[in-house]
Amino acid sequence: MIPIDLSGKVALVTGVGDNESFAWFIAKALNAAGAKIVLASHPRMVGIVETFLSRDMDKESRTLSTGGELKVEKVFAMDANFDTMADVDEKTRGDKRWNKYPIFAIKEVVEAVGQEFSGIDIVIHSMAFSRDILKPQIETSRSAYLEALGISAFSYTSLLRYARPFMVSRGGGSAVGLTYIGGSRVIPHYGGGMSTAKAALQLEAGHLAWSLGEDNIRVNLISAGPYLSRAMKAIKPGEAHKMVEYAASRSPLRRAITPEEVADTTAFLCSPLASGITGHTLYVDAGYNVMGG
Amino acid sequence: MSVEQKVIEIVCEHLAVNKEQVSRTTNFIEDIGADSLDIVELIMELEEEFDIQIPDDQAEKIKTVGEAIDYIERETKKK
Ligand SMILES: NC(=O)c1ccc[n+]([C@@H]2O[C@H](COP(=O)([O-])OP(=O)(O)OC[C@H]3O[C@@H](n4cnc5c(N)ncnc54)[C@H](O)[C@@H]3O)[C@@H](O)[C@H]2O)c1
Repeated sequence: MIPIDLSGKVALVTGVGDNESFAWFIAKALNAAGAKIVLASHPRMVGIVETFLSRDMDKESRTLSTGGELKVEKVFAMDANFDTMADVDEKTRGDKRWNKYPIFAIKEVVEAVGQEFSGIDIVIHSMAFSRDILKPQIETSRSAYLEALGISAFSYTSLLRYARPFMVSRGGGSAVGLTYIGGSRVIPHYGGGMSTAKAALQLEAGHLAWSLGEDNIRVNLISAGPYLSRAMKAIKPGEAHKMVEYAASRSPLRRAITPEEVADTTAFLCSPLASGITGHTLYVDAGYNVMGG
Repeated sequence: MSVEQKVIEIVCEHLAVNKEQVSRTTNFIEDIGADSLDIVELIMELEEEFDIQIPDDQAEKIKTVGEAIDYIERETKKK
C-alpha cells in the first residue's frame, strides 16, 4: 500500500466558512493524513466556524474518513483584503466585527502561525469574493473587479510571500489553491471579475511555482467542478443546482464531483507522491473540461 | 421568558438594534439592514438557544422576526 502520511506537518488552511466549504473537507483530509490543522477564516466567519467545530449537532460533519474527529489547533481571523495591518482602512479599523481581533491581515496572521507552530508545511488557498458576482463582466464596476482580483488571486501571492521563510525552515512545502474552469473559458454567469481573477490566479500559480521552486516549495491549483457551497449558491441564487446538473450531464463520468474528491486530491498534491508536480492546474471535475460539445 | 421575548432579545443583541425598533413584522434585511452573513450567524444562535435545527431551505424562508418566532415555536412543540 502506498500511504499518504502527513504526520507532523503543519497545514494553514484558509477559506473555511462553514462545514460545506471545500476547505472544510480539505482540512479533514489533511487531518486524516496526520497533519496539524490551523485555520485562517474571514473575521466575520470565525464565530460561525467555531460553532461548527464544537456543536454536538455538527459532530457527524467533523468525522474523518479514518474514523476520528477533525481536530483544529487554532482558528485565526484573516481578511485576505489586507496584506499587512498597516493597509487596513479607517472604516474597517472602526468596525468591531474586525477590530475585536488584534491582528487580521495576511502577514501578521501567517507570521503568528509560523511562530506558534514552528514552521508551516502546507498552505491552502480557498478564498474567492466579488461583490458584483451577479453582474456580467460588461456591467462590473472597476472597484469590484479590482477587489475580486485582490481577494481571490493576489492573496495567493501574499500568503506564500509571508509563509515562505516558515516553509523554508521546514525544508520546503506545498501549496494548493482552488480555481474554476471559468478562469480559462467563458462561463457566462461567472461575472463580477471572478473569471478574470481565476485566470490571474492560474498564471500566478505558475509564477509562484517558479519563484518558490528553488526553495523546494511546490505550488499547484485544483480546478474543481461545480459544487453547491455557499459561494456557489451566491453565483446563481436559487438555480445553482442547475449548474451542477448541467455539468454533471455533460461530464465523462456523468455525475457531479464531491468535496471529498477535491480534498483527497489536495492531500495527494501535498504528499511526497506528488513531489514532481508544481505549477500545475489539476482538474477535479469528472472530466468536464475535456468536452467540446 | 416567552419564545417571542427571547428571539427579540437575541435579534437586538446580535444586530445591535433597540427593542423599540423590533416587532414581529420587522424584516431583517429591509428594516434593520442585516446582510446574509448576519442572518447565518443569527440562525446559528437561534439553533443553539432553542436546541433545534433550522435547515438551509427553511432558513431561506425566514425573513421577519415573526417568521423566526413561528418556526421556533413549531419546532420546540415537536419535541
Ligand atoms: N463551489 C464550486 O463550485 C467551486 C468550483 C471551483 C472552484 N471553487 C473555488 O473554491 C474556493 C472555495 O469556495 P467554496 O466553494 O468552498 O465556497 P465557500 O463560500 O465555502 O468558501 C469561500 C471562502 O472564501 C472566504 N472569503 C471571501 N472573502 C474573503 C476575504 N476577504 N478574506 C478571507 N476569506 C474570504 C469566505 O469566507 C469563504 O470561507 C474558492 O476559491 C472558489 O472559487 C468553487
